[in-house]
Amino acid sequence: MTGAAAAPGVTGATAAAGSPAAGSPATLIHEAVERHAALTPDAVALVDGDLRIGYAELDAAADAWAAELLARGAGPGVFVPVVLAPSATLVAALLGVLKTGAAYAALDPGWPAGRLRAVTAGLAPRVTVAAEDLGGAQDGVPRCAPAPRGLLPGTTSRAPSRVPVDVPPHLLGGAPHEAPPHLAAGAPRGTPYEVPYDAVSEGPSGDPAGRRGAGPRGPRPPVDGACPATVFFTSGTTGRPKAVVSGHRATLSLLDGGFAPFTSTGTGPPVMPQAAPVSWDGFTLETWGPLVNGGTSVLLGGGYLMPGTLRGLVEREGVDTVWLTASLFHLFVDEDPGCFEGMRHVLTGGERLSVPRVRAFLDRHPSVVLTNGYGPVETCVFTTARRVRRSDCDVPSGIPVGAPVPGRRVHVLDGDRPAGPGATGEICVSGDGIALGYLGDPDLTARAFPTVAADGVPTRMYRTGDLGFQDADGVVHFTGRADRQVKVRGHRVEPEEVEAVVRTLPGVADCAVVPVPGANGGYERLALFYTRATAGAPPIPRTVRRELAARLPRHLVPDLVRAAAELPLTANGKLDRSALLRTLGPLGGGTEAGA
Amino acid sequence: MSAPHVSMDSTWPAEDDVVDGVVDVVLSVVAEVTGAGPHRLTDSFYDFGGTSLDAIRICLRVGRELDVEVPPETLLDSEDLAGFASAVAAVRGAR
Repeated sequence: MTGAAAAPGVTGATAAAGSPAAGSPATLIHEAVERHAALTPDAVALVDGDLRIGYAELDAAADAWAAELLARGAGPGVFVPVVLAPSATLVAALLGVLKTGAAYAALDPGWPAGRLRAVTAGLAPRVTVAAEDLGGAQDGVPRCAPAPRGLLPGTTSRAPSRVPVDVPPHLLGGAPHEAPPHLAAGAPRGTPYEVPYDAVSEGPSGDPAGRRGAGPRGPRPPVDGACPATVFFTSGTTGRPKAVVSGHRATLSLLDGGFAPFTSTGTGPPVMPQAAPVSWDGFTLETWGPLVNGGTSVLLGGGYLMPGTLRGLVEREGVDTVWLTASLFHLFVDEDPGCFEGMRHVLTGGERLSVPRVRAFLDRHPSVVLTNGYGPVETCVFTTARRVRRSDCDVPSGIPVGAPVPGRRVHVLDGDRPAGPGATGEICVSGDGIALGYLGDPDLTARAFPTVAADGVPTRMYRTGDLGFQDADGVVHFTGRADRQVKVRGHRVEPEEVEAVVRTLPGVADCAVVPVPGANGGYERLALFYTRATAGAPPIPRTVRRELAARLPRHLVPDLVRAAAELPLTANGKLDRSALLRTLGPLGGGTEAGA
Repeated sequence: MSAPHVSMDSTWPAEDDVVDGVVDVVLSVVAEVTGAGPHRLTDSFYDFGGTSLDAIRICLRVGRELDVEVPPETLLDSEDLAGFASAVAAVRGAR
């Protein structure tokens, strides 16, 4: 391998790094990967089926994507939808987007077409990456498709054209004094958002100083760790998903910041399967976690991770670290507890852990580190985490979710004031880990990310809507939600989002989406109750479910669909959710929904 | 090869022994995992509130019983339990 000494893309900020472990942290996600391409060019970065992709090969492919995307208008302040199945090509394209200075929004090509189009339009893209046409409003936007084989870009649907002018100057908005400086209206010249796109996309200096392949040869785009890097999608109350925009530093402050599962002392860098949906922060954990640490991400191509898969990956690929939602962790422990043999680290969380399952796991695998984490997507992967010990099984309030991880601080607030030690309030998070805001929704951004005094210092925070308290050791404990948001099998669900879609179906008059409690204190299912409009043919439940499956991603489609004569109300005139659940019989969980 | 046919007729047995054994396993595993039943082959997995986790469990257990690998999508994408049994029988027959 030639060219390693030229250290493509390693900028002054990180070039001094003597080794990945000892060097100063990278500022940008792709720089962290470039660092390993320079230091260990032949180390395996990605496994995708029979393909083994080394760091230098991945970085060169990412350069090729960057060149193609730069020529089509990608650059600082731009959001690039990337609609590709989980694959090595997807990772190369995402790195390419980041190298242009733009942020990516990885979208699952399996989503219903209408939802994909709506989400993509919300990004106001200048260019998209997709294997197939998305249709709709994206018809006029250049589309880069991957080459039929390999990691590189192939054809682009349109010749480079004039950059569209309808990209909002600061899509996140919010009152200027509350927005991050980079995103504020009227930010001073010289900030990344003020850089003319043409100046970035030109720059054909012809400088042969070291860049391999067709990568960008001009000056590096002027972005820093606060600039947008990732867009995650999560359930929103309005019937549309919320687009959560996070900076490079949200990812790196955790994954390159000393978070225990990724600090390999005496052992090799992590080898981790990638199974989470690409639009979620779980994808960040499973992909950038290994890649910014010189490890390997093993791509499963979007299939379900099964216990047998894990066994095979440990044997064949040396997988030693895995992320499983709490529900999936419980299932693996129930069905095939030996499947964790050979693992170093199991990360789980997102919901309350079952004590008997944790105990069974620790008994069987005393040498495997089990980490329980908590973190809304607005805090990028995790807010708090804890290595689970046997003694945690005896904590009356359940397995603790631990203390803040690198780049995150937790504040428990009562209104705008600290709730005080041990007192219950709203869990709020500050630090490098929190998102920049919701794309295209400045009002919601301003409400969810206020600036509040913390120890007398004005501090930008994310209000999680989770209620809880912090004990004397800084460990966070939960007591509930301040709204209707629930976690169902590890997926964050706003029942209002599903209801809004149900109400658009012909023949439906009204509806209620009710989470069905499970045995473990969490929710196992979503139930939909709808009333039929008098006019027209009334839809039967199976039809309603099929219609919803065509409009919503799988985790938002109700598991139980029932037609109801009416939606019962309590004496206070509120929807009587427990009465609805009782109509389900044994399927209804038999307890108060409480949502 | 073509997929073995599963009869929608509730009066079993079918003409094919492979399918016959698969149907028994499918119906008993589904009843075991959902804690409800008995189910008919014309039932959709979703009629009784089946979740993706239930699908994983069912496919793991069916796979273990029949010594085949059954991805959860096989059940999630099936119109009804008859369709699921046909798909499992096809995987089994293809070995």
